[in-house]
Amino acid sequence: MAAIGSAIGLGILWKFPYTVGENGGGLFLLFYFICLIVVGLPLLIAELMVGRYAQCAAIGAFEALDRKSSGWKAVGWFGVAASFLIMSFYSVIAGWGMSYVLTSLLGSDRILAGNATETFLALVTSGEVSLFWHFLFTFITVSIVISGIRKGIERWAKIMTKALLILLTLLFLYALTLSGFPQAARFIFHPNAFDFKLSSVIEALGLAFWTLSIGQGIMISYGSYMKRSESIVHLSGVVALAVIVVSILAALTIFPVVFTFDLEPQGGYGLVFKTLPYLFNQLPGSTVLSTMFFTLFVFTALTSAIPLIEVVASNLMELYQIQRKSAVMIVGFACFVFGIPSAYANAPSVFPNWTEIYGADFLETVDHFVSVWVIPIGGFLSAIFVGWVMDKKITREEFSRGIRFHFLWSYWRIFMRYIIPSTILIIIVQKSGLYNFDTLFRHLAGVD
Amino acid sequence: MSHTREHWGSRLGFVLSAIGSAVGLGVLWKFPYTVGNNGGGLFLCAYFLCIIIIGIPVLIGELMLGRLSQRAAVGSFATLTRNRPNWKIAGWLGVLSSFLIMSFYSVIAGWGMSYILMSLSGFYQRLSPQDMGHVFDTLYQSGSITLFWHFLFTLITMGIVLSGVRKGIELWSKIMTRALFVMLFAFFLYSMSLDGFGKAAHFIFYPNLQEFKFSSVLEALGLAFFTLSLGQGIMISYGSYMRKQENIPQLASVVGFAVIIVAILAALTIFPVVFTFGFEPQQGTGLIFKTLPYLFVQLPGALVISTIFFTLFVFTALTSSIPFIEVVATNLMELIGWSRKKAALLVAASTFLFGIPSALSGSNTVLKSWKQIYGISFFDTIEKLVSVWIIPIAGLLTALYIGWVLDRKTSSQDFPTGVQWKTFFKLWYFFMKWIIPLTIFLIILQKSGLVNFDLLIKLN
Repeated sequence: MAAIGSAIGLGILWKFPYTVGENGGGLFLLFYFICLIVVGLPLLIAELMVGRYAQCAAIGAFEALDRKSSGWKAVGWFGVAASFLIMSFYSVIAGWGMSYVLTSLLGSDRILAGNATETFLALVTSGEVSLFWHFLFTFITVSIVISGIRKGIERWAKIMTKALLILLTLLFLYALTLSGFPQAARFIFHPNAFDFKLSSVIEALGLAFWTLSIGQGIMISYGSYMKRSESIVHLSGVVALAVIVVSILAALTIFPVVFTFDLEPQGGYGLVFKTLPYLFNQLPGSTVLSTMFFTLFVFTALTSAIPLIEVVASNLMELYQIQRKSAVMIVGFACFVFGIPSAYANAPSVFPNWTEIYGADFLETVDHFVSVWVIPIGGFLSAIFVGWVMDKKITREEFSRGIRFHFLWSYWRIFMRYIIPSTILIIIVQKSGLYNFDTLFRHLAGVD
Repeated sequence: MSHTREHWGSRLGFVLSAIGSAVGLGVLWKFPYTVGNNGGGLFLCAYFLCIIIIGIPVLIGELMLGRLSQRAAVGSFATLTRNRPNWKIAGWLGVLSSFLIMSFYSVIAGWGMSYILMSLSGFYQRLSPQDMGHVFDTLYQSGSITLFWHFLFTLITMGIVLSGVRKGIELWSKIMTRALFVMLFAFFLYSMSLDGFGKAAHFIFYPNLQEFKFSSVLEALGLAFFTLSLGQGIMISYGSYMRKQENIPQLASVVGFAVIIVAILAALTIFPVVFTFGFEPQQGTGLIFKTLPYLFVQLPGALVISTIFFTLFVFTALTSSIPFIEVVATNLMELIGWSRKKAALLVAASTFLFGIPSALSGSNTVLKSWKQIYGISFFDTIEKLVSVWIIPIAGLLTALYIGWVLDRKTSSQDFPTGVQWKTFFKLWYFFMKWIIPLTIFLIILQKSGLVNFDLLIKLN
């Protein structure tokens, strides 16, 4: 249960639906699942393993395991960079969640009866208000990390995760009755080969990494807290399965709303905020439902934000020998400052020409940069590290602990050494335009 | 003979100081305008019922928790049942509401300070009666001036908490509270002579079934908690300073009824002014500032009366704001192990910072689109959030905690001995276990829209 809780973050609730929406559903989802199982699961095992064996945070872990000290700790730096960048806009989104808690409490009619899209736009175009919540969320996260009430929060988080799953199931059951449900199911599950572009596979890969929290150093830290007797493989399998189930549940709740109320599936990062209010509005007790949902949303975000801050901070501590408290404060402050342009992404007062120059607003740019480049490259490098550099004996021992299927290890090793690096490499090459596999694909299929 | 007199005298003093501690800005500032916004009559009825059925029992409960545990809010829940750490959340909710209340409380108290200075600088000589109501609007819209007073009031509160002159302040506040009663009573007598008194009494006491909405019961409950300082951790701290031989149930009942009386007195002073001079009862947060100057200017020596009244107003605010800062600071101290000085400084600085958007709500210089997004200003948002949600939920949790988690023996030990108290204990315990949780739960259900009792009543 704790493992599932740790895996369900904003990745599933917030990023998963809108990324699926933007990439046309169907085949994209299929690729996402393939990425999750073929690339994500083995890498999750690898990251937990590295953390547990080295007993320290990302950068230190790579340093400790690299016998020749040939600069592999750079891999750890990728994770730290990803954590930092993610935290900077994560708290903006979580802040919107907090704002929705407040709006729900203040009276349902305002947020729910009106146009949900407009309500969301009013919030995001007001940079100041977004900034206020961004600050509050970062502040709360930093206070929790510093004050050491983390354990208490984690206990609550478990209860919250269960509540969230129940609530999501209830909402899903309601979404089943909507008139747009068949259309949504079709959109999600029907693989439309014509709409699909190979170039969006990297998005699927990034999303798989995101939802499993890998490539961010989080799972390395998490592994370092794991008991020696626990089976890493077993845990990873459960987490991956839970992520798949919950993400389908989330998609099947949100898209029926999209199709029933004629919204755009390409709603961008506001999708969950724009659609769910319609659903709440239909149900009795919209205030309670909406408040509960967004409270759980914020809590989920908090349980992911705590490790994000901790990963960066513990790496700083190990590196510069500074105190935990000051490291956390520095990181929190830096995340807040770097997140300011994200909070102002839809308000023209900071970087007014950003969208014009980069084609997407600041928040989107950072999000895209992290999930398409930083995380996949980090994953690629750690696969190479675990597959080629790390001692074979160590991986074998760590892998086999607590399970019966020892033979799986050799398959896993093949994945780490060949399949994962080459898959990620192909995806990156495709994305970078060095070679277009779309043409090859068409050629092979005889479409031409 | 002398022995009996002494006994009686100390008892009166004790009761008076308890009443003084309960009469804060809740009664003077929040009560009149909330009654005005909710249409008087039945709302007041609901408020009184909430005080008697829910408020007084919860007050007994909070004082008892404090005295039993000898700790502040969070620590109290943590030490009384060590094996149930999740109940600490009830204490944390209290700390949170104290923090949030303090952030806007000092804005209101700051307006009070501004009115002292205004009275002294010839407010009543300079302005025509028509302009006096508008001065509040000007003050409210002037962000920098409001901010200045907000800062000053927070600074004074912090200075008192840090310097340890608290005891001295408390002594003064007792005198001030008495003076405030006397003054309020005199104003009330004068208000009786106004033309609008009949109309005001009708507005306040006539239960108008048509205008009443069940959904405003939650406001009444929140107001009851606010005026009794419940759900804020304050009464738990207060209980921890109480001696073993003091009779908590009796004290709580006296305080409860005193709050009712003072609240009626305040309402019967303000609303006649509202109706005589053609104001709207729905004036919102500024009601007391807009109306009372009309009363003062009618009286001989308006300058002196107004100065004294607002000085007392600020003093009342101070006696509540000191525990607000202390509740938050003490809990931080117990938790993180900070020194008292550091904790108080940090808490005061944070409440000041967090209060800035409240202070600037009227001038609309920060968080400009707040009102557009949430429908009400930042100030009103925080105020509503605390009194409609956080405080009632904290009260609900406290009742559930005492009724279901805490050992029955533990709480019965803290009740005074005697046959009539035994019956009272049984009744109180039944209330804490069943009636209060159910009532608050129903009220919240209604508010959340799950069940609409308004429709139910109409159908019948």
